[in-house]
Amino acid sequence: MNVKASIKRHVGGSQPAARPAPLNAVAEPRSGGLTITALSKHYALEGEVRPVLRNIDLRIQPGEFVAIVGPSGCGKSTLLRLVAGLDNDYDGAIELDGRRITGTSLDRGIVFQDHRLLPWLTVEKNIELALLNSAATQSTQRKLIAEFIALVNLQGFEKAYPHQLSGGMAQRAAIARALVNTPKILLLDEPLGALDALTRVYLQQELQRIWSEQRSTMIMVTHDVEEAIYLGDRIVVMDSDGTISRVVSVPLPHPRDRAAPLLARLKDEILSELLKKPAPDYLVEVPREAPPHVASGKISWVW
Amino acid sequence: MSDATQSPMISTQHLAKSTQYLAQSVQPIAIQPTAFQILRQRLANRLRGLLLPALLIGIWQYLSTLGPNYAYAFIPLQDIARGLRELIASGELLLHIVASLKTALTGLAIGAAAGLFLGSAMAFSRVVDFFFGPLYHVLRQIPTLGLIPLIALWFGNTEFSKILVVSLATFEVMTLSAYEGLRSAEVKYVEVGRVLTFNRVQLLRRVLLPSAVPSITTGLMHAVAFSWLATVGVELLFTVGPGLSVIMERAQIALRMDTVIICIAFIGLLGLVMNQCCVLLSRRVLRWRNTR
Repeated sequence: MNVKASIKRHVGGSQPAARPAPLNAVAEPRSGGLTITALSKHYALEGEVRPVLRNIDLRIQPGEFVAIVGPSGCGKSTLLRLVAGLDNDYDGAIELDGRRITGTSLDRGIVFQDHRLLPWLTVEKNIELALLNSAATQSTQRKLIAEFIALVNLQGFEKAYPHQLSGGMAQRAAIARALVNTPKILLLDEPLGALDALTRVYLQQELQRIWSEQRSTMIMVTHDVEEAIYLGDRIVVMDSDGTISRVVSVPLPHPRDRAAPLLARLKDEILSELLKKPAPDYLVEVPREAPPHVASGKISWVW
Repeated sequence: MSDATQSPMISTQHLAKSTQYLAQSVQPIAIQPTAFQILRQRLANRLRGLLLPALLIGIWQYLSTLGPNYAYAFIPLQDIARGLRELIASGELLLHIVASLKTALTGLAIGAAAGLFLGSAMAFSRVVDFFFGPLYHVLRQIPTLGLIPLIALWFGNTEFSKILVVSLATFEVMTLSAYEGLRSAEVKYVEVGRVLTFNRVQLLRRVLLPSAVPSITTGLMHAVAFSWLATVGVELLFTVGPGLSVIMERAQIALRMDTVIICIAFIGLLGLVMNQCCVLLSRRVLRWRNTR
């Protein structure tokens, strides 16, 4: 135990070791509030400095589902990698529950766009790998693995190798691997981007179900605005120059109906923001000046 | 009603046809070949592979009957069989086979171990790579058998020299495959390890080494082939101690063509057996790969 603790300190992760999940699912949000203050990052490319993120300020409540959308190249994946701790070269502060993050930690799990399951291990062993540095005992580990395989509906595929799984199944296994440590924050980097449309719809529903059962804070980067609106409590719209252009709240309760009119309206609003077109008329809140014929009593069309 | 009977949809002809189709669909379809059929197919495959060798042997035997000169170059099969019986009876064949295999396997073991060590050292430590890398890549270009005169001068005509040459041959192949295998470990899996807070030892054991296994296994197959090649060559040139090539050379001097052919056949056979062992090993170790 001492050796493990000292290795963790050395590697970076001043966070305490992740505690194993209670075996009955808890539906209230755990800790996992993220505060990002004045985050900036630039790359040096052939001598010139190219900023990727500029002055990002974001505060995420525990248990929230935040979706980040933006044009490609706007730095949303970079933001996620910085929060995960894969990159430590940035200006500004990222704090988890008040403590600055240093390096990677089991408190922050990440699901990549390509599932990144180790191809020489079975699904079971891949998930077990995530528990290698956790404090759980062997029997607890086995129970956790079984529990999370059941959570993502992959029972029966424990001994399958990744090449034997379909894209959706492999991504589900990756989600199980990221969740098995019950991280405070789950980061998802375009997790459904590499899948076909039907699998995407199915997995969006699964993600919503998992989130409502697990209630860890989830931050998802996606280029699909509909997906962001369906899943997210708040949607952070980023600009191509690496700043946040606006944050849109989606006050609908989960599970959501994809056909809800508010969702359609929000989608139009966000898309027009992203495409820089003027918003359609019905989204404008400010009342327009009345058409000239109303006063004369004649019927005319009113917005 | 009259319309219905005249309609082509329920003509008696059509009715007959549909009944026929129905009857056919009810018949059991054979989807699994019987065991006998499988065996017959496998036997046919094997026999097909033996057809060309059998033809060549037939041509050989025919050529050996054409005259005394032909019988010298293309020695008849009966003589080969007689020579084989002699060799086996005197116990010589087994002795030499064991000696050759010992040289090959010892050289393989030493060379592979050294190669793995240096290859991984070069892959992990930039210092080692800077110092040893250029020299290694230059020395790699010299074919090992070309170093034999130098080694003979330094170490003489001994067992040690033989094993040294075989080790060198396998060492070169294994170093390269270990080096390339470890360096080509994909960054994405290393990132997974970092996200799971692996330390250096865990990254090495859980991510880097397993992803180097395919390259190392391929390198081992090549190393086995090279070690056998080097053994045959080295036994021809260093004629100390028993070995298949040694009796081959003695037979050549004594004009015993049958022994020469037998030795060649056994060299080929043993090489094939060793290769097959490697293939089976790699299949077992790499069963996680989708090789379809």
